[in-house]
Amino acid sequence: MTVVATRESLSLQKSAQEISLLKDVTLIVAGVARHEIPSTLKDALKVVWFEGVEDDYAVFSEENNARFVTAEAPIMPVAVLVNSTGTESKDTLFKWLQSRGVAQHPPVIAWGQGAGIDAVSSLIGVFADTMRSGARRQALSSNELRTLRSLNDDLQNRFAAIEAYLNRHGLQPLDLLFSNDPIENPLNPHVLSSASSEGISQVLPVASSGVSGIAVHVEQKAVRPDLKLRAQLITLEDLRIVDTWQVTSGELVSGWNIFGLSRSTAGLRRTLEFRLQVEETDEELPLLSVGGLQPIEMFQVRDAASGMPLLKNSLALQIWGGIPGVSMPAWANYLPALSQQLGPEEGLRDIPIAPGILEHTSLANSDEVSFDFEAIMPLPSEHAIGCHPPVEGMTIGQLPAACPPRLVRMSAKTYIDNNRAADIDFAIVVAEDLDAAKALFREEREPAVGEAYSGWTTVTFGDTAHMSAFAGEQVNLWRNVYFATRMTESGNNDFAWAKFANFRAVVSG
Amino acid sequence: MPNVRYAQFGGQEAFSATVAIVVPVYKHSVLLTEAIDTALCQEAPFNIAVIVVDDGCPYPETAEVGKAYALAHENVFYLRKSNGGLSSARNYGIEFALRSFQDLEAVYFLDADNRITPSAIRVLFEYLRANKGVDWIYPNIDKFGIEWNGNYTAQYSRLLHVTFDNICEAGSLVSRSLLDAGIRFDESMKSGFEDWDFWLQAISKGFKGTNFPFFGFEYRQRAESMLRDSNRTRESILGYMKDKHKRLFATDTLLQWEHEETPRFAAIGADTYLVDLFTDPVIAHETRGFEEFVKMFWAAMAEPETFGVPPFWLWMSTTHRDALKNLGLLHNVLWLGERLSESHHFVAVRFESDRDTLAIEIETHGEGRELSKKPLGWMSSLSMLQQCVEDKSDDWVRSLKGPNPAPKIAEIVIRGPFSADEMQGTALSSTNILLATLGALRESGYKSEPDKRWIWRSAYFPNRSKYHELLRRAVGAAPIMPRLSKPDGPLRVGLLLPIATFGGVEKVAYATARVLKNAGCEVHVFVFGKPTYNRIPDNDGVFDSINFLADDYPLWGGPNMFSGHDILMGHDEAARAEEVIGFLSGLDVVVNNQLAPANAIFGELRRRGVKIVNYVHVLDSSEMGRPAGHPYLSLAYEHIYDAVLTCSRDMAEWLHGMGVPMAKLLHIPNAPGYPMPDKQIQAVAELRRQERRSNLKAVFLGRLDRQKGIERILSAARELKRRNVPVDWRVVGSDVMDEGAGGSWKERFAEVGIQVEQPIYDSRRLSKLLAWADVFVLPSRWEGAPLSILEAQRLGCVPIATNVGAVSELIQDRVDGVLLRSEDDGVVTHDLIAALADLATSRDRLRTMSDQAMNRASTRSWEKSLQPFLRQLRNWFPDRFQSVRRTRARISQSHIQGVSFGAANSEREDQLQHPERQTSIR
Repeated sequence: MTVVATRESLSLQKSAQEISLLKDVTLIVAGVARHEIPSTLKDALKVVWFEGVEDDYAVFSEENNARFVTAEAPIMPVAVLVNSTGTESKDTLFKWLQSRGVAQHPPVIAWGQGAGIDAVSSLIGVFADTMRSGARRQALSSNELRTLRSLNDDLQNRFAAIEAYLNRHGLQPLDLLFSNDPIENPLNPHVLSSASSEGISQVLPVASSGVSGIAVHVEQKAVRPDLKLRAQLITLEDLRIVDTWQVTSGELVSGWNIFGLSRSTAGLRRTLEFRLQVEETDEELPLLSVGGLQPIEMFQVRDAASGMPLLKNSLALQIWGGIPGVSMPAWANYLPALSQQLGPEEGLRDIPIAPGILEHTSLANSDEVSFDFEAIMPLPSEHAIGCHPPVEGMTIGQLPAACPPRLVRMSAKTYIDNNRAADIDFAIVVAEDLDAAKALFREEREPAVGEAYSGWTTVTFGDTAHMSAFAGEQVNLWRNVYFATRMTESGNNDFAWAKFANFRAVVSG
Repeated sequence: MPNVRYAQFGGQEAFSATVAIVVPVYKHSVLLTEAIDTALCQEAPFNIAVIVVDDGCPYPETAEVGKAYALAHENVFYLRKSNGGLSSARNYGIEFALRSFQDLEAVYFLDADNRITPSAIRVLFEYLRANKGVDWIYPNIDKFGIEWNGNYTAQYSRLLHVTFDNICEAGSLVSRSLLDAGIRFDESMKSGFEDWDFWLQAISKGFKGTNFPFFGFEYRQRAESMLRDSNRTRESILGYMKDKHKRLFATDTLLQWEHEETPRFAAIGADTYLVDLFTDPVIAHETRGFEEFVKMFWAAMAEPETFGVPPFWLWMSTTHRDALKNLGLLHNVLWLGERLSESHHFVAVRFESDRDTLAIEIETHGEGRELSKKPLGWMSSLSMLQQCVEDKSDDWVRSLKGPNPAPKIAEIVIRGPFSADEMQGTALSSTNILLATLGALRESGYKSEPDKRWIWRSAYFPNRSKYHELLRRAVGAAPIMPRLSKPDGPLRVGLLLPIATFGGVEKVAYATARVLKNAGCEVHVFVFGKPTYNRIPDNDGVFDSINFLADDYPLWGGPNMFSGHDILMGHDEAARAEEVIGFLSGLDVVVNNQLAPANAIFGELRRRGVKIVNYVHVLDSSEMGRPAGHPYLSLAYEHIYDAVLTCSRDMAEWLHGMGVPMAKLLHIPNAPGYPMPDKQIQAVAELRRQERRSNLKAVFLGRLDRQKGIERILSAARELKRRNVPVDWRVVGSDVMDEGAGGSWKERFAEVGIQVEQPIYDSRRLSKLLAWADVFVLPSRWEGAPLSILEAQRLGCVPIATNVGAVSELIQDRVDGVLLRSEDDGVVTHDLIAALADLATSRDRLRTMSDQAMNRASTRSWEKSLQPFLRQLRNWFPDRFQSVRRTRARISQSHIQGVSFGAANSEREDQLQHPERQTSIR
């Protein structure tokens, strides 16, 4: 039976095979019968038979005679194996390759009765040439790297010399780049108290380059001196943490507090965001000063979790540039960055899970539990997911591929949104698949490499629990996030409106 | 078995991708690695394909790099093609991605010398997914090499994108829907701006972009680049794009975007404290609370390239705005306010009640001149208000409350039939609201220090509060009438008039307006001379708007000469091209009714797709008898008219003979100048039949001037009186002092016992006069096709007129009127006396002619006469002008073709009545 392939039918089958020709080293055969090619050669690399050109597409076939078409030239045809009957076919192939912009044709190796050894020798020659040219390229690259290393050393030495000179002569060029002064307002809103547990964020009005410190103005210190504050400076274009600060409330003074960078920012100019978070407490938090009303929303102080403005003001802030840590104003309270104690490669990034991803959540263990309503319910406006526990057992929800590689910590806020609900247990797992997640939720084993498990935490209505699942070792893979709820005491699950909110991942590197 | 590690070929599971990064490469062999590496560094929970398209690069290294990455990474694809340019390479990558990846949702274009940050694609794609109305996301421009960071974060504006520059870098994330709609890079554009064209295609198909302020795109800027080359050839490329995307560059389109994106006016309700933001006040628009508006103002002051506020502000109650809207004056007042705000500190708006006219007067006050009455509204420009807000003292602006304001003020006084409610002010006067607005701005907590910038990237965009200037430059008009067209709305016809009183030209224009309105058009009247429209009840509801230029605009003349006529050219300053084009903005058809200087700008309007129609009525005569006037101007500008309407066949023949192509000529036979119900006509006819013998009643209607041959009437009256021929005279018209005639005509008619009556404009009184008269005398020196003859005939009043112009097309001598020989004064006067004497003594003949006159007039109507014009409109606008009443063709197709201008119906009527005459046109 002769099958006449139309363009439409061809297009359906061409993609996968076409892609294989774009990914593999290929030996193209023209004219030589399939049984003449030794199976060892066919095992060693991909072999295809050129059948001709139809409608500007090249037609190839595989060993099993299956024909396919391609619009693209094969990425690396190692050679064209041709016998006396395939010469015309080979010419057609070259013409077609030329039409695809291929400047250099693959070598042609003659195949004939008893000439197998010759052909294999030629093939080895081709590979030897390829290896030689690869070695040349590697040597060239090594040479270029050496030159770059040398240039880098030179730059380092010159920079260090300049730095030493500036230090010796007290010439550190420290400038106030921007100042948003506090407004005098007896009704100063308590911005830290109005924020979620993730704290506040403020987009800064200067480019990253050359910034050495961010000063925040404290109107009133906290009563307790041991509250833990965590600040971060982030570049928004690549979501990198520039520096991190961990201070106690006692270290803050009324007035300006400069969060000094471990080194002034360099490289391409990016947008900076300053985040400040206080560990959860019922105690009174430090009262931060704010500047005047801010007409541009982007620069209003925001909730770090939701990204929504908390006030119509910006924070009162100052941004300092220059070489940090040497000659800050005497009146300022200087707070060094945590990363001064860390190596340059040990930076962490804090990545919120985007609301768009929350919408892809689904019930993972539908084999175990079922409901006549949506037990797993994305709540985009709250940046949350509802996870209704069953009467017995647990409800497991999943966020597919929501956990970035090199995870350090996956966290979320958990609470119950109905005062008639009984207590509920919450847990979070990062794992490759559901079976692994179930094993961790059931506490049948310890988390393996790349996995994280928070343990179960009981929550009563009115309470909020912040759950964190820490990964022991980082892996370079995206993983699923699983979250689960169960009734603390099996039985009545009415009104059990359990919610996970503000999923965030801290990753290394 | 040899010791070989076998590779696995042709895995069962085909690679698929959600996002494809297309990297076209040509001669960037080494930098390519950096681009691919940044693409490979993307951190995203979905597959990303990297498609390297080698556009026939002559450097073997490009292929080596591409192949190496493709072999090493499952998600990198190296495609080689013949050289076809950047557009072709990107398109090649798009096609490959679309056919290879079923899961594909978006494509990112990364040129081989640029880079993106590792989080870019994930963040952008999440943003694209989360924002349904967004079809592409474009970056700020962060350049490295020659370092520069450009702020592109302003809300996306099509107006800006089309009129300013390509604000969307090719390195944008594009949703698949846009590609599925067939949008591709134009492969004929090889000198740059192909990305601009790509976005213009997207706009024209209704897609919308947005900026993401933290994009992570890095543009390598070296000393030379293709973009710089394209800036050198910018004008020619822009010309190509304008031609390709005509609709996008059309004034209507740009005006619509201005209304939606950066409205030109902020109207602060004196009674509501709400702020309406619009370009066209009658189209749906955004309304903001006052505090929100104050915030908007300060955002615009803080970051003027990113945030904007309308450039012109109006303080007026909604009642007063509605009153102007109801009179069809609102757009005009805003247009005038915009114009005057640029030369005055403030513009006051006041109403005067007047039942008989609509008029606009503009006066300048302040700086010493008193403001006599309190304004109902104010307008001012943003720049003026900014200065007031920055001024530490408000003494200067507070003087607006008094009669002698310190600021320079233009006052727009609008006369019209306003109701008592409309004439009243609001509880809180507009002056107080204006001052309160300034106070609120000055005291606002949002007020920021001057020059304190929050956005650190360099400004590149123009001031967002000045996009109206971009629009003005793009369309070569200023200011632009803020009137939007409704999509697929009715045809918009503008009737241009030098003045709007009671002349024949206006009557024809108004009759045309009535027919066009009945046919479903929007009809707008534009008055260029004295800004007054004498109201005529028959026109009520006909005009969608009345627009007064209200400027010192010359109605005749110019520095250039054509066949003894002073004319203007478009580039002459006196033509005021920008102002007039802006005034006439938003029309599909312009009908010029003897407005000479406007001819200068019609060429420009026509290039924008407006159909230009010239309505010619009469060949005038100079003092010394030289034929002159608008028909000659029509010859000067013939090439810019799409059609020329003539009131007579005689005029059509003249124009054709002088070189106007037949295809452009449309003969529109005149009909009575105002409508009248048949019932009333029949009643008059019945009265005439019952009338007993009495003196012959003769009437003259018109200006008492040389053209009308007024001295011929005086001579005839005197002679008939001397002969005791029983004639009762009524002479009705304005007395024009005529130096040559030796004084007032009123006095001279009084000498023969005839009282000259004031002119009559009211159609009811006019009909009454014509019903009274037996004959209507018109011994003119020159005429076109006078409407008064037709109006007289309609009521059985027999016309006695000089055989000039197209009068013979209206009167068949001794059948339905009397034609006086057009010779010297003695002959005309002799014929006039003879005709009057004859009819005074032969009542039967008078009655017969009266009946015939009524018969003739009954065959005339504007609805019928204007059919050829309506047909022409339908040919021009087949999709928008469906409602034209089709009339039965009375003559053969070949005949129509032969006299395409000659209204078929009237030709036949004339043929029936003049079987002996052949028209010279055939």
